[in-house]
Order: sequence, then structure tokens, then C-alpha cells
Amino acid sequence: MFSTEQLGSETAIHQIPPMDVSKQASEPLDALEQLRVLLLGADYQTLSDLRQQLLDRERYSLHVAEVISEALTLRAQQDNSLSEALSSTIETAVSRSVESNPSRLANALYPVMGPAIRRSIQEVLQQALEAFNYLLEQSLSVRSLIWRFDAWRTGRSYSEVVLLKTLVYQVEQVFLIHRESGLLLQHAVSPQAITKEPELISSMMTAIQDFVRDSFHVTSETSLKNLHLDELTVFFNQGPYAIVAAVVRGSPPAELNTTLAEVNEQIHRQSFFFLKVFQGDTQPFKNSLPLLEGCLKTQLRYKKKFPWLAIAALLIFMGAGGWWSYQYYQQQVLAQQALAVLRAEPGLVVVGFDKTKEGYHYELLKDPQAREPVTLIQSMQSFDSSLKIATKPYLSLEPDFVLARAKQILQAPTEVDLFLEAKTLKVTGKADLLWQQKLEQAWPLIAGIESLDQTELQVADSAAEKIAEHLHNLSMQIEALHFKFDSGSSLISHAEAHAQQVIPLILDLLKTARLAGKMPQVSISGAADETGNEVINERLAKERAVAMHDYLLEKGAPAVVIAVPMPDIGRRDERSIHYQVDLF
Amino acid sequence: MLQKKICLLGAFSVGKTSLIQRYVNKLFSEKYLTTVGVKIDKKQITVGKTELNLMVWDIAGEDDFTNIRSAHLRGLSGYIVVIDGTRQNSFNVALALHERIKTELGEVAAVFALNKCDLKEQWVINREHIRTLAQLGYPVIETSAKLDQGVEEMFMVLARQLVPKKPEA
Repeated sequence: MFSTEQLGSETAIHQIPPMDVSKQASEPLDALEQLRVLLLGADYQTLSDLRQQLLDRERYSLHVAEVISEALTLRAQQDNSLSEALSSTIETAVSRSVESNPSRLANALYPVMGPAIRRSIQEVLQQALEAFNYLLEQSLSVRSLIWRFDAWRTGRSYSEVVLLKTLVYQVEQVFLIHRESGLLLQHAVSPQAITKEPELISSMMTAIQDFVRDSFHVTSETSLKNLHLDELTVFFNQGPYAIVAAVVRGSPPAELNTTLAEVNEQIHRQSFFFLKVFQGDTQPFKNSLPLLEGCLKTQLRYKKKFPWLAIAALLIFMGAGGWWSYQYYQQQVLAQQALAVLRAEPGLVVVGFDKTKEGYHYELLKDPQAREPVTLIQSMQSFDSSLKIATKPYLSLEPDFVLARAKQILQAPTEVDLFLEAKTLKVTGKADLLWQQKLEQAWPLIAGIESLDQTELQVADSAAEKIAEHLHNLSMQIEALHFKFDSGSSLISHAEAHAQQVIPLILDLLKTARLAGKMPQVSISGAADETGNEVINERLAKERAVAMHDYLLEKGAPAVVIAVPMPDIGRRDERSIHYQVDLF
Repeated sequence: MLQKKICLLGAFSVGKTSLIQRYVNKLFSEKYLTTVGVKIDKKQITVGKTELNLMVWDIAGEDDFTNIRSAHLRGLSGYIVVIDGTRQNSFNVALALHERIKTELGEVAAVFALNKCDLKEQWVINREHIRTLAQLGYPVIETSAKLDQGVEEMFMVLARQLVPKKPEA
């Protein structure tokens, strides 16, 4: 421990004179001292100095202080006992530090927190993603479907089958057994495992060990290492006072034995005293439980692969979400567009706009002359939302609508134009009296019109016109008729046909003229040809006219027909009579 | 809950198994007795304020041909020796066993059970025998598996010996 050189120098520094000791001692001791000096010689100083150093706390602490770091390092390299020994001390120290000055520890830990938290969040997310992926795989993949079929077929549960197929190994139970009596000290079991009567099992395992040892020729030091069935192995690790036994399903790794050995050693260290004096009380071994539970490892045949499925599922989900949001937004936009269109449309008033379960609902007031709102928003109807319109009737006083209304109500004839100036209806063009009367009755009833301007309206009395026209026709017809005479004669013969033509016309003329409030006169004028005496011809012409006049009167023509005594100068070289109609 | 290992000993076919059949918690069937040589059962019993978990090692009967394995006796806190009242040999075996255990393990809690007391008329065990047993310093209890007599008592008497005597607080 201490080198002689070191001690030598110490002795030099402290300079303890060899004789001091003997002088201080009392008589009987003096002799003893002298004896010591004689026996030990130079070493005596060394030894007494050493003793002083050990007794002197300060000096001893100094020495220890010099080597303590190295010693701890060395020990830490050898085994784990150092951390064990210090763990509770460190825990106490930390809690004390936290109690007295929490900010100090907080400051110290602060730089660690950030990365640690980030890291743990990453881990959690990664695990969640992997778990999700695993879940999807289990639910959707072909392999899992086959396994489900297997499970159904063999009557086992699906999770059992999964475990069987994916398990590399699983430590199901760990026993801590008192070596001598076979009694169970502690027992750890993994959540999925089925366990029966661990106390009975532990005793039986001990009995079996004894049985095997007794049955086969083995040395007394031999201990049972493992029991092996097809898929099940029980590993034993024997310590001086306790046995750790692990039940493993599957093919366990080589390290398991080492792990069990380490655990057993640790338990022996921790609970050595209790193991030795064990009389049935298992209470002290409760703190071994965490160690045993640490052995309950499970390894699945589960490669860490990139969670494609999960990411695909998430992407699909997000894509779907995005699509739906887009759709929703689109709907909104269309609905708003429709609203704008409806608002802008003349003759429609939007009084309500709601979003309902099926889509959007518009409430409108619609003037009869307005365009159909449904057709207006046809283009904005989309597949999954409907735009519903409910209309109530109303009358718009917009000029366009008032005019349209007026047109509809008045049914003006084609030659009439209607205009709206402020609230005045202006009527121009030509119409007959009948229509004008209708106009004058109807215009006050047209909503939105307050006055009528018909100054530019020409009212034609069509009836009168018709009559005039008829008269004109009759005149034309009568004037187109004539009767031819024989040469030199003024005798009427074979004139019945002619009379039958003329007389009705004249009668009609009379009737029509009376309707028009006029008096007709049909003048008959005769004519002669060029031959003969002019004077005679003149007389002949006059006679001819008179003859026809008399003849017609005889046949029933009304008295309005008179003869014109003068010859018809206009006609020459014609032996006839002609008519002329005059109206007075 | 105190855990205690106790052994049930006795000659071949004295009625050990029949005795305890209804009083214990079983996992292993009778065939273990003949194959492995021991069958382990569990008996829970309460003595005063203490709960005891008795691991009962039912050890295959000793006779001229088979010896009880010493290994099984290791670590036991107490034992019950069963004697068939109708067979003298079982009495001798019981005494021998008791001696052996005393030699190997020292003074341990023990109880002697005189089984088949329903067949008292056939008994060969007399008062002398019983006195011999009593002189050993351990309780002697008459039992009958058939009539369901004395078994609980048998366990209770042994259990009382196992519980450490602490002064009441």
C-alpha cells in the first residue's frame, strides 16, 4: 500500500526523534518500548509512524484522498459492485441537492432536457408508427389472413398463433428457489404466460433434481443445468443458497445463462444474510423481484423494417382528408357564387341563405317576369351538395319589370310601342279605338305606372276605315261596270244580267254609305260612237242614260241612281253607259 | 405467510396419500409418488395470527427394498410419520425413520399419526407402543382416512410447533 520511499520522506518531514517515545513512557512500559526498539530497529519508526498516520484522521484522509479515484476506477473495471454500493448514496445525495438547491440541478440538467425530450418524442413516434404498421400488417396482409385461418382451424386464439410464428424466444417465468428446502422465495411471470402453482412447481423441480442426481452416477457437485423439451427449456442456475430457474419458450440466446448467473450472484450479494437464515419468511426477498423480472425477456422474429404500410395508410388518410377539405371548400365557393348570381339578377331578391345537411338553401322573392333562378345556378350545382331554392312571389317596381308587365297586360298591337319614362307609360304608334279604350282602362292597374302619355298615339277608327274601304271598293266595282247598246238605239235589251250585277252593288253602297254617314249618288252617263250626227249622238247618249236609269229603277234599284243628262265626253266611239259614284 | 417444508413419511402403504387427499391443494397426481418418489402438495393453515404455507412432501413409502432418499429430507422444518395400526412393521419403520432424521437433521418438529383407527379391532398397536411413541416427546394422533378423522388436527399440531413463539405485543 505505502511505498517505503514515501514513508521515508514522511518520516523526514515529521522528524519524530527516536528517543522521544521512550522518555514519555512510564517505567514498566519503558522496558517494553526498549524491547520493541531492539526487536524492530529502524522499522520501529516506520511502524509507529504508520500507526500515527492511521490514527490521525487528517493524514489518513490525505493518503486516501490521493488514491481514492484510482481505486474506484480499478474497482469499476473489475465488476459492477461499485455502482451498486454507491447507488443508494447517490440517490440520497441527489434528493438532498434537490431539496436544498433545486435550481442548481435544474441548471445542470437543462441542456440535457431538450435533446432528451426530443429523442423520446422521436422514439415514441417511431414506435407508434411501427406499432401502427404492425397492426395494419396483422390485419391486412395475406400472411395474417393465413394465420387467422390457422387459428380458426386449430381452435387456438389468433394472438397465440401470431406469437408462435413470430416468437424467437420468451422467458415466461423465473423462480427464485431456496436451495436446501426447495421452497419458493420469489416468482416472476410474464403477462402472457400461464402459470400454475409456482410453489408446488419449485418444490417439485428441487425433487426432480435430487431424483436425477440419485438415479444416475454423478458427482455430488453436479447440479441440474437445464430441462429441455421441444419448445420449452427450463434453465437452472445454482448458487450456494438459492437457485434461479427460468422457463423459456422458443430458442433462447446464449446470453441467457450468463444473465441468470449474474442475477443469482446479485441476489446472493443483496440478500446473503436472509438466505442463510431463511426459515420460511419470504418478505425480505421482495426486492429481488425486479431482478427476476428483468430476466423476462421476449424476442420476436420481427425485423425492424421501414413501416411502408403505415406511411401509406397515413398518406392515404391525409390525401383523403385533403380531398374532402378541398371538396368542402369548393362547395363553399360554388354556393357563394350562386348567391352572388342570384343577388345580381334583376327581379330576384335573396332573403335567406343557409347551410343545411344536404347542401345550401336559398330563399328568394321572385317577380313573375324574372328568369328562373334554378336555371341561373344550374352550372353551380355540384355532385355532392345541392343548392335548393325556395321562392315566394313578389312584384318588382324596377323599370324593366314594370314595362314588361305593362306589355304583358296591355297586349299592344304590333304598330304600338310602349316606353317607360320615370313612372309614366308612353304609348306611341297606331292602334285602333278598341285597344285604346282597353289601354285607358288597364293602365292604372299596372303596378309601377303612375301616368299615361298617349300623345303620340294615333288612334285609327278601324271600323270607319273599313267602311270607307268598302265604299271605295263598291265604287270601284260599280264604276267598272258598263252596258253596251246597239248602234243607234237606246233600247235596253238583255240587260237582266247586268242589272243583277249592278243593283246589289248599289244597294250595298247605299247601306254602307249610310253607316259612314254619307249619301251616295250613282250617276249614269251615256255615250255614243263617232258615227252619225253629233247632235243626234248627244241626244242618243242622254237617252241611253235615262233608259238605263229607268230600267234599273224598275228592277229595284233605289232612287239614288240618277241619270246624267250630259253625255260622257270622256268616252268616244262607244255605245254604252257608265257609272260614276259620288259620295256626299 | 410463512413457507415451511414438511415431509410425510411412513412405511409402504400405511395410508399417507388417502389421509391427505382431501386436505391439500394438488397439482401432481399419485403416479409421481411411484415414479419420482415424491409428490408435493400444498396446505395452507392459520396458527393464531400467522398464516402458514405448508409444502407437504409426500415421500414414497420405505420398506425393505427402498430407502427414502436423504436428499428429499433436506431443509425440512417438520415431519409427520404415519403408522398403520394394523401392521407392526409400520411401527418399526416409523421408529427407524424418526431416529434417522434425528441423526441427520437434529431435533425437528414432528407428529406421529396412528392411521386406520376405524379398524381398531384389528389393531396390533397397543398402549405400550403408544407410550413408547409418547416418550419420544412428540404428539401422537389417531387418524382415519376412511372416516375422515384427525387429519386437520394432525396438520394443526405440527403447524403449532413450526410457528416461532413470539411474545405477544
